[in-house]
This record gives sequence, structure tokens and C-alpha cells, in this order.
Amino acid sequence: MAGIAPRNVDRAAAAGAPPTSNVTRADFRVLADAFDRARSARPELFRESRFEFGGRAVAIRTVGARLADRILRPFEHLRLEADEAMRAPALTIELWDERETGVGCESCRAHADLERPDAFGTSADGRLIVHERAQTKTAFDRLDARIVGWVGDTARLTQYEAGRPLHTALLLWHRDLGMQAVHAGLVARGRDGVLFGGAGGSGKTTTAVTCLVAGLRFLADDYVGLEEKADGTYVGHSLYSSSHFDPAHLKRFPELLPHALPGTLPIEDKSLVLLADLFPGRFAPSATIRAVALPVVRDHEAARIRPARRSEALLRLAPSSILLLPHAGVSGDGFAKMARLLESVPVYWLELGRDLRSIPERIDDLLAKGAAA
Amino acid sequence: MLDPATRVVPNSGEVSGKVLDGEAVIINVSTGKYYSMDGVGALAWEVLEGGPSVSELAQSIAARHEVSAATALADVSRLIEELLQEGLVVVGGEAARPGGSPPAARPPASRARAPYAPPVLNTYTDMADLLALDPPMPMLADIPKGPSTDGV
Repeated sequence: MAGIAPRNVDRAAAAGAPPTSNVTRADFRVLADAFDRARSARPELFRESRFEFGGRAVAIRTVGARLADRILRPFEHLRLEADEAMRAPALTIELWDERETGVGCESCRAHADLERPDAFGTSADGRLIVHERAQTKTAFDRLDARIVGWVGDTARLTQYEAGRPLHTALLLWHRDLGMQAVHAGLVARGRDGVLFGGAGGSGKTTTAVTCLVAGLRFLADDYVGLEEKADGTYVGHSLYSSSHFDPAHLKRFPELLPHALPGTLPIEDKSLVLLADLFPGRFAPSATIRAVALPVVRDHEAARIRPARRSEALLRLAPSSILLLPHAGVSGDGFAKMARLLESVPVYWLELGRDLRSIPERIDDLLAKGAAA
Repeated sequence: MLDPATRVVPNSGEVSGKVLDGEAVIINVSTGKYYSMDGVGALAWEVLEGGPSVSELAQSIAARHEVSAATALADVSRLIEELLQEGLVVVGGEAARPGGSPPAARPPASRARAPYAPPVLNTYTDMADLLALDPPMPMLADIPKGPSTDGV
């Protein structure tokens, strides 16, 4: 499941320790002060960029040229134009690279053991969340909507971190705004979208990328922020323009092959493609969901659609979505929100055949059904 | 068999469930397992959300389906034991009813009863392995929105 960092199943026996609940403001301050020192030490490496996440302006401040290039690329499709960038940010993200700046942090220690599970800690009130990986440590102040993060060496970031930067913190932030993280793809014509859900291997990436190549707008192949509007409609928000492909899957998209970034570690068995680099202008930050499709691979020629039971859709959509952020799904009304979405729009099976070109045609059929509903 | 007076309610701290198109879909976030029940099972889940006793639930089912009271009670008892074992429901008293709501009322006696099949709990464990790979996130309480007055 690409929504969770790819790991060897054998590691289940070595699952990480439960999260601690002793994070304090002092822990956050250590990282924040170190960021400020890095910025002061290397002002020429400081850069601020503005993006739209979840319909809100977000400021990302980086100290490190290589860091900025790597971390910001999956978000490029959400970059705000100059006039829109003046909006006050609803979230501020501050990151620095120790190797580039020469500035470290007393509580940050890089290690080379990529098999080691991530470490999480929270403050007693849940306001502060700290997340540590081999080359990164981030602290998220949920009340102030501020993320501060150390990167030991951008060159040593994993392929997952390059394709899905700050994934856990950003899912939490979306949740704090009342949005549900949905493990799904989303494509659109204009601002009318079709959401397609299912576990890994169901065909979400095939559907999303085929539609992108055919000229539809791509919003996601793996993660969508679902927002319930007051008028009873549902909006899906894009976050990443990146996609992960296994070798066999990538062969179906020869135009992507020259741009595929293979993994460098034994556990990285997929290639990363930053789709916004290849198809500029074919992305949207958000779309109103007009229909839900459930991709399933079938051995026939052309793609087909047939009505699905809403319970089938919830079985397909909810479990992997809820488990992206387990307790947020229960306490945050996420499950019920997905059920209400499924009650409000047409729901269909999308049977994927051998002819990939027929997939966008079926998506257009679903959009027509959604418009008529 | 469970005491018919035993009351149960969904384990709302760990479980979410919804009935759509006559099928109950339920997920337990602490285990990663998810479930479905259709027919009588879906009806049972709807009634369970009102915090009924075992006998009240059996009566609701027997009122709507062509089944004897004794068979309904035995099947409901078995189902609730299974739901308890899976952590989907917990035993609760009168106060455990969400909002003090009563169990679903019986339909009028004149309405024809539907054919009966024992409730079956379908269990899916494919997500459970994935959940085991990542440390469970701490319980995230809602926090007040907006900037603090004592920012770090």
C-alpha cells in the first residue's frame, strides 16, 4: 500500500515501540531554534514558497538548495501564483538540511538503519507530535499549525520521503481541518472529479495515469483529502503529484520510462515518477466529487462500468483509508464521512480491460452520470 | 449462552460501523480487521447501535423475520459473543445506551415477515498485517483551532 511507507512484511515481527507521550515544548523549541540558526548561518540558502493544500495557503521555508529542490517537487502542481501567495498561511513548514548548512541539532541523530521502524512521540495533550526516521526529525505543533523539521542529508532521503514528504504530519493537519485522508485516486474534467478507491493493486495508479495521459486533470493516485461542504457536496484535495510504479506496471506507460527514478535501496523496489514535471498544466488542487469508481482488473478488451453497491464501495474505500491514520478515522468522523459521500453520488465498478485508452472514456461516462444524478 | 438481559453497545472508542444498502460495514482500528454482515446481521448492527439487551435484539429480529423466538435468541446470542470476542461491541448497562436512545421499535404485527437466515460475520484481515508494520498513532484528541497565545 503506497499510502504507508513500503516495508518488508517480515518486519512485522520487529514492530516499533508504542509512541511515547512525553514530548514537551522544549523539544519543539530545540528544532525551531536550530532552524533559525541554520537560516542565520546560510541566508543565501533560504527560500520561501507558497502552495495550496486542502484549499488553504501553506508556506514552506527551506534552508538548503538541494533540500528545496527535492522536497518541493511533489507539490509543484499546487504552487500559488504571486498574487495568491499573499494569502496568510494556514500552515507553516520550516525545514533545513544539516549537511548543506553545517547546522545540526542536539536532539537529531541520523542513522543508517532503514529497517528500524519510525519513532513517534506526542505531548500529553496531543498538541505536539514528533516523528523520527533515519535522516529526518519533524515536530508538528497542531495548535499553531507549524511543522519544523531537520534533515540530516537530503541525498540520503529515501525514495518514499522524496515522493511523499511529510506524509504523516500533513495527513494529521488535514485531519485537524476536518478532512478525511482517503486512500484513493482522483481525476477531473475541469473541477468535476471521479474518485476511485481500493487497496494496492486494484488499478488506481493505472486509472489515474491513463487519464492524465489522455488529458484529464490528475489530482491523486493514492491519497486524497476529503472535505465535506456545507451544501452537501464533497471536495477532494490533491497533495502529491508523484506516483510509484513497479517495473511491470511502468512498462505500460513507455512515455514515463525516461523519467522514472529507481530506488537506490534494496527495499525500494518501485520507481518514482514526478508527474507534474512531465504534464505541466494537467493538475488541479481540488475537485468536486461527482462519482465514485471501484477499479478492478478484468481479462477483457475494453474498460466497462457497472453499478456497485454502496456497501461494496465502503468496504473497498474505508479500511485502507482509516488505517492511514487509525485513531483519526474513528474520532474524527472519517468513516461516517466516507459513508455519506457514497450515499450522495453514483457508485460504479470500473472494470479495467487490456485497452487502457478506454479507461478515460469510462471516466467521462461516470462524470456524465454524476452530472445527471 | 449469554444472559438475555445483557446489554451491549458498539465499542465506539475503537470501532466504526455503517449500514449501507442493507449491509453493515464495520472496522476495528485497533486490530486493523474489518467486517461485513448483510441481511439479519445488518439489521442486528443497526439495532445494536441503540444499546439493546440480547433478548431485545432477538425480539427485533423475530418481529421482522420468519424465525422462532428461541432460534432468534440462540443465533443472536452466538453473534453477540462473536462481536464481543472481536472487540466490536462491549457489555454496557442502561446508561451505556448512546444518548439514552431506546432500541429500535418492533414493526406492526400485521407487516409480513421476511425469510430468515442466521447472521454471519464476515471477517477481513488483509489490513491487519499492514497495521502491524507501523506503530499505532496515539489517540488524537481534537484541539482548539487557531494560534495559541503562548506560541513556542
